[in-house]
Amino acid sequence: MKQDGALVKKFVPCPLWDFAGLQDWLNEQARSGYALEKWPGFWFIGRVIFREDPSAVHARYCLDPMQEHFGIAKLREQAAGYRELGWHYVDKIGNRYAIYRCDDPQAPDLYTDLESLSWAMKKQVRWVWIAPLFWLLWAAVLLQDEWPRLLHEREAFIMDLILRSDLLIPIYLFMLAAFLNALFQGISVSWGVCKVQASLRRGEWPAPQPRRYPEFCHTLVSGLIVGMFLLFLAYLDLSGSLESQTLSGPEEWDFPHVTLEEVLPAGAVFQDYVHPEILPSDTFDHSQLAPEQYNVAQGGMVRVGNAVQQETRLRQEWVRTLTSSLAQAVYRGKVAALHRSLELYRLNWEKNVSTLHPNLPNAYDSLREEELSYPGLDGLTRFTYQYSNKTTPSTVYIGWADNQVLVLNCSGAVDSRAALELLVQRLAED
Amino acid sequence: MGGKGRGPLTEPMFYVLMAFLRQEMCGTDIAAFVEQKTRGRVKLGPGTLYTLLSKFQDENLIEETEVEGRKRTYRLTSKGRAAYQEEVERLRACLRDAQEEELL
Repeated sequence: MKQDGALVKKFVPCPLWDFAGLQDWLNEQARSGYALEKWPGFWFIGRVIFREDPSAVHARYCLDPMQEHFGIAKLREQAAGYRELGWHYVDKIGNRYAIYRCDDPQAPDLYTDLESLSWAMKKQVRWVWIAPLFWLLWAAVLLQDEWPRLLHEREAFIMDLILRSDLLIPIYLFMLAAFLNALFQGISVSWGVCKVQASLRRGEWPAPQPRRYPEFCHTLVSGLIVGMFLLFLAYLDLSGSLESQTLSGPEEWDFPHVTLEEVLPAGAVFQDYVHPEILPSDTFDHSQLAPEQYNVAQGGMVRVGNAVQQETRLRQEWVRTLTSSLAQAVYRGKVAALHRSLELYRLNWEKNVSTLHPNLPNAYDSLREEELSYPGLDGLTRFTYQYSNKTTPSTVYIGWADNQVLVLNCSGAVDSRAALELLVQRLAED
Repeated sequence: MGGKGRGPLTEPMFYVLMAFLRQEMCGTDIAAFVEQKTRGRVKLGPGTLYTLLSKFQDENLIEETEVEGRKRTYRLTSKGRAAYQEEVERLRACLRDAQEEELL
């Protein structure tokens, strides 16, 4: 059957579910002297390969809907049966249709009644519905960590979205676009196949669709989505936007803050940690929605009067967002995140109570969460807790004023009330 | 399609079942039988033929008896014979009705 004619690539003008349109198009090409050479499988981008073949002028092409679980052995067996009746297998269109060619003008068409063609399509309809289900499952698996957060930790999820907006918003938009693109494709194919089958059931030959080259357009859209995403990742990598900037010390804290020395009781003697690296590094982060994000800590050993030396830490977070409502969302996210973190600590403690700390059944000696009103702040929540295996309590203030969010985490000898008062005063001055 | 609630058989289905009445057959034998029997009036394309064979097998109207390489031979089951008989009775009733109407 093969000739020595030149190979020609042509774009497929109709959707792959359009049984009648594809068949008409293949026969038109044959009448113009182009025989189908190959229908690309995985690398199909909307065009197929023909060969110039004068003998194709008299050939007929027909599509045969492929059945479920249609393996290569079954296909070969069927092709052998068809060959005896004058039809030769050419290639297949994915798992949808096998393409046959007949050069005998006396041989009957592949399907001589519409009812049998409708039955052959019926199994395909079921198969086609698997595609949208697959994409739904794909999305569920891919976002398995995100769904529970959206449902149960919505505030913390929104906060992350604001604080890491440069990364997360494009990623979620990309995933949404990829998912919608795939889902739309799945639904449109399913709808198309059902439409073809409905025509056949009514005893009508399905009408070919307008020729708008949808397969190539779909490839183009998918390529654009993936291309833009890759460019975005390259930009993030080159610009270093994903990495936090490490700060060398308080001289770089360009935000309203207090220092540990300012909030220790009078007469307290401060001594640095022997290993200062146990303190987390001070960092600065940036995003379009929250352009300034500081996270700093100071700590060491403090003795007040004749009391025993105690470990003391002051950790501060400060976020400036673009708008006041964004700041409110970050504030709520910080509160929810700390609430959840304390709850997880309790659950983990209780889980290991019998093996790790049988004498301390409770994770906390005390734990309190209160919403307070405080002059100069639009919102304030105070967490006061004491771990059962520690001797001093911790106090965390999470506050919000206009487009700023502050977190003041005090433990040990820090005078938390004085720290808050001083910090709010500096916020006002700022 | 013939039998309980399945509606009448289509013409190709009727002739394919008829082909099995006297002997076991393979796909190409059936196509030749139908063409000869109907003097070329009913032609079975390979897609139609193999779809019908697959459907009949799914509905236990025929069963496979021999596989020789890629050639498969089938025979009619008692259920298939009943479906065929039912269709013949239906066609006879149609013919009777038509003849009565002509007499009037």
